[in-house]
Amino acid sequence: MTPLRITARLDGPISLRDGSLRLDGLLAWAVAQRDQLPPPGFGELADIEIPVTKEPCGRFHLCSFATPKFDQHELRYVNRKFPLAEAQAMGATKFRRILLSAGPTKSYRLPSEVAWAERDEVEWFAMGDADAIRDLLTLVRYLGHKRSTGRGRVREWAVDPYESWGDGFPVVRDGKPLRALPADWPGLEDPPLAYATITFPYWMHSREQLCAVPG
Amino acid sequence: MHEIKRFEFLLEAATPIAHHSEVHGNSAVAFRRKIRMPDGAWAQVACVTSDTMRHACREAIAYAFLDAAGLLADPSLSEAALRLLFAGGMITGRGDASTIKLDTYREMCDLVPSLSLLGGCAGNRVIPGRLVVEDALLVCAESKHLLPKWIVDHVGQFDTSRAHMELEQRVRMDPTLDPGKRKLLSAGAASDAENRLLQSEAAHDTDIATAREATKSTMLPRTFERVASGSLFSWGVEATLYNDLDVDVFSTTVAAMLANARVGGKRGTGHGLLRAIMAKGVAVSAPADRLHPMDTTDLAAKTGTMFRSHVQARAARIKEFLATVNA
Repeated sequence: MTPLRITARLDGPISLRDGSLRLDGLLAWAVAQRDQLPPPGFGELADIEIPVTKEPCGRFHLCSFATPKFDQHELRYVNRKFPLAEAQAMGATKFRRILLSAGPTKSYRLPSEVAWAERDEVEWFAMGDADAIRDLLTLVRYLGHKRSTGRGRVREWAVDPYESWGDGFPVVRDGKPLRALPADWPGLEDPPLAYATITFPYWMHSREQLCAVPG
Repeated sequence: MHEIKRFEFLLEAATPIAHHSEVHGNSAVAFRRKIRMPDGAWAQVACVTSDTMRHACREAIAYAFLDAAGLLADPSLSEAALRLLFAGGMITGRGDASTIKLDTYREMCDLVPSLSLLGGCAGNRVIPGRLVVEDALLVCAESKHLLPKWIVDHVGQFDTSRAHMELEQRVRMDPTLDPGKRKLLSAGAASDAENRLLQSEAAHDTDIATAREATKSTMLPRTFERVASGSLFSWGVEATLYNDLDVDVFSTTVAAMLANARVGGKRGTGHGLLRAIMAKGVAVSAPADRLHPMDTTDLAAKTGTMFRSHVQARAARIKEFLATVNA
């Protein structure tokens, strides 16, 4: 396990719901894809091992969040319509009424922002096995939200050895947390506090706890 | 088996593409994407959005699925089944969303193989998809640096995005302005139409704006942007595939979609027909990147056999599933 700098070079804009991307979450997703695990909610959650060092108490992995700066934004819209023409042609006879302004057949148009990262790069730091991380990241072709429509396409991954900045690498730098950390984590200097999930799966809000979070 | 497979297509607009993002007054504006140029400048390039292309894929495989299951001859789908097949379903709030048995999930993916590829909501749970569909981006000078090399080599000459755009005007005629058609009206309606025309002429002479507005005809002139026919688009679609059936479903989806790819609006007047003229297939996660040319005219004929027999063998169970699905 060595200090690493991991960079995703993007081919276009990306959508991030909360402005950050978790490397350990990406690697866990890649393992789930590789091992063909069922989606969350279908059976029990599997324990997933990733090639990143865990902190001494084993609560989370030693890797940073990426919080890219953006230099351009664009507002897009997601439209969703009930398949009206098909309903008229193929609907059952007891299916008599389609209400487009309310209820389950309602049409909607939702705003959704995309943004271009500075230099089209997203960057993480980690303590881990470079080759194993590189292998897993080849399965990660798109990053962020709405990947199914091509957002956040990765042109290439770079996993390079990195000279550690010393104390705190890779989760604290200059007293600031680079990922969600327990509030009493050593080396932090007056960090912002918020309720956050400390390890993957990050969407599981029932596991949230008071953490020091990147500002 | 675990493979990420990518198809790249060079598409041609066989007819003009009227794919609009919004309407300002009576003017419809074509969809454009912001693009970062190599020198850091920004450009707007026309495109067919990935949401449109993805929906076209979902619709195409849904029809192929219903056809294979023998349900197109006498379709009587429930609202939930329609929504599942043509819009990916929705979280309905009915049923238990906390945990769904793995067997139920496997059965769902077995009965509707396209569901595991495209994703959707069924049984009150989200099924993540494994298909990524990108924007079909106009091949032009501004987008050149983002295009696959084989497309750049093939096209050779590039013009600006603006050069591919046309501004068209159409007018919906008011039939009451035609004396011949007014003869078809009932006596009362003909009299009303004559009176309105007289009032309109009087309002025009007096030049009172409110009177002109109140008596104007129902003719509706409007303009819309469209991408000229013959324009080229670069389109990519990729999927994570776990077995031979996945491979066939993926190929069938793309082939069925491209067999009659209509996008955007004004289809009633022939707009929106896309035709694949060249393609490349890439196995991304295989030991080495393999880029091989594909014959787009043969794509539809050679694929779908496994998908079709798989669905046919389960037709009765599929009918039962679609009748009871909660999506």
